[in-house]
Parts: sequence; structure tokens; C-alpha cells
Amino acid sequence: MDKQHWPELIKNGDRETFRELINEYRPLVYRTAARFLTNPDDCDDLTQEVFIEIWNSIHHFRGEAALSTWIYRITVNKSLNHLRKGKRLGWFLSRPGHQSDDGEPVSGPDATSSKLLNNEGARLIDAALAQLPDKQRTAFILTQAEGLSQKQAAGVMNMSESAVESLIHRARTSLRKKLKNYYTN
Amino acid sequence: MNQTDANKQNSRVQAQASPGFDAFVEQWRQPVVVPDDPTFADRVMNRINKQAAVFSLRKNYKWMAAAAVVTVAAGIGLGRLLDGGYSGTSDTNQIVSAAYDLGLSGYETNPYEFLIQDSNE
Repeated sequence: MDKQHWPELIKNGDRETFRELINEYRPLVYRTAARFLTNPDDCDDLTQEVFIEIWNSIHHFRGEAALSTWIYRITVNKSLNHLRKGKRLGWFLSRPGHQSDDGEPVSGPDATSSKLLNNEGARLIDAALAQLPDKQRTAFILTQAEGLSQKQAAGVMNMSESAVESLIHRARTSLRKKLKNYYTN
Repeated sequence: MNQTDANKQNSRVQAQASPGFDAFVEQWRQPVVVPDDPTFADRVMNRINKQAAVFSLRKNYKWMAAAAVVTVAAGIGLGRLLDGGYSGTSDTNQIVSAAYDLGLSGYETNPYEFLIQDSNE
């Protein structure tokens, strides 16, 4: 079945097509959520919520952007909302991004992506990223981890390409500053 | 800052970045492993089905609540009619107000009664 027709079919209540869409886009949603959230259970819950949101609001999708762009947008918004709500405050305070008294990021043991990658560099970047403003963090994740072009990231974030470029630059500068004690020049 | 300036600045920052920092980013960039979950789609569909059931129930409740409000409103209106009450802007009401202003007390319930009685006499 051609993916281009999926939105129309799903709008008409085609549950089998929606099931295909879930199987197709689950990795994208989970991967993106895992860059924001560090708890695997939260990632799974959020992935479910993203697909429920897709089902509920598919009639808002007008096909002006790619379906994947729209799905990225929902995933990013849900992830940021989840963090803002601080649903799991205890876990949040002990996450890698939480600063110690001397202002340095604390390396937490529970980062999904870091745990899977099992390396110090990834863990440090995760920790420092968690301290960046939402937009810088989102731009950095979408382009550097998900491999989206600046144009695609701009579509997801509903911004101009130059704004995204500037966010990425600021994110890199901040990360370097935060991690300056952890790498050798 | 225009795009050319941003590009220049980007390149400068990247050139200044130590191999250590870029190596960190490279390590972080490694893809996240997505766990296999063959029941995932089923769980989502179950939640959607439950949601649809609740929504339909809510819709029924809405209709029932709307019907109750309409019934109560109709009941109140009917009750007033049977009591012979008058509503705020009717002609009768205006005549009653005028009768009060003129000091013609006693005719407030039906000002026409005065005219009828008068003509009969």
C-alpha cells in the first residue's frame, strides 16, 4: 500500500492502515523520545501517546509537510511537555542533567541512550544537553542524532532554516563550554 | 546574523572544537537501540478502542444532559404560563408598569379587566 494514501485511509477510520503506520514509524518515535527522556518506560508510554495523538488528530494533517515531519513534531512536543510536567520528579532530579553543587553535570547511570551506547562521551553529552533550552536541544537532537537536514528540522520546529542553524551553533557552543573540563584540547 | 555569517561562525566553532569534544558527539550520535515489541501496535489499538468507547459514552451523557436541561426549562416555562405569570417584555407587562405609574393600583394582574368592567358598566 502506498504510504501517500495512509493519512486519507486513516482519516476514514482504517485501523489496519493505522497499524501499518505504527509499525513503520515506531522506531522513529521511540528513538526521538529516547533522546529527550532517559527512562525506558517513559519512552514506551510516550511512544504510545504519540500514536494515540496521531489517530485523534489525523484530520488536522493536510499533507503540506511530509508525514514523518508531522510525526516528529508531535513526538518533540510530547517529549518536551512530558519533561515540563515533571511527572516523575524524583527521577528527574537524579537524571544526568541535574547539576551538582559546583555546577557541573552529574553523570547519571540511568540514561537510555547512554546505557545502550555504554560510553562516557555519550553520557556527558546527554547530561549537558538536558541543561540546554528546549529549542537548542531540539535542533541539536534532530540534526545531529536523527540526521535531519536543517530544512527538515526547520519544518518540524516551524521555524526558518537560519533560526535552526543559529540554534545548532548556540547549542554546540554551550555544550563545549559545559564539557570543557571533560575533554582535552 | 545572516546565513553566510552563521556558516562562517559555525565552521569557526567546529574548527576550534577539540577532537575530544567531537568524539563525544560522535559517541552520543550512535543510534538508540529500539527494543523489539511485537505487541506494541495491539496495545495502542486497545487504548484507542477504549477511548472510543468512553467518548461514545460521554456523547450519550451529553445528549442526556442536554435533554434534561431542555425538559427542565420547558417545565419552568409551562409552570409560569399556568400560573398566569407574565414575562418581562410583554405588552401586558408594560401596561401594568404604566398603570402603576399612573397610580391605578389593583389592575396589575390584568389591566384589561378595568376596561372590560368599565365598558360593561
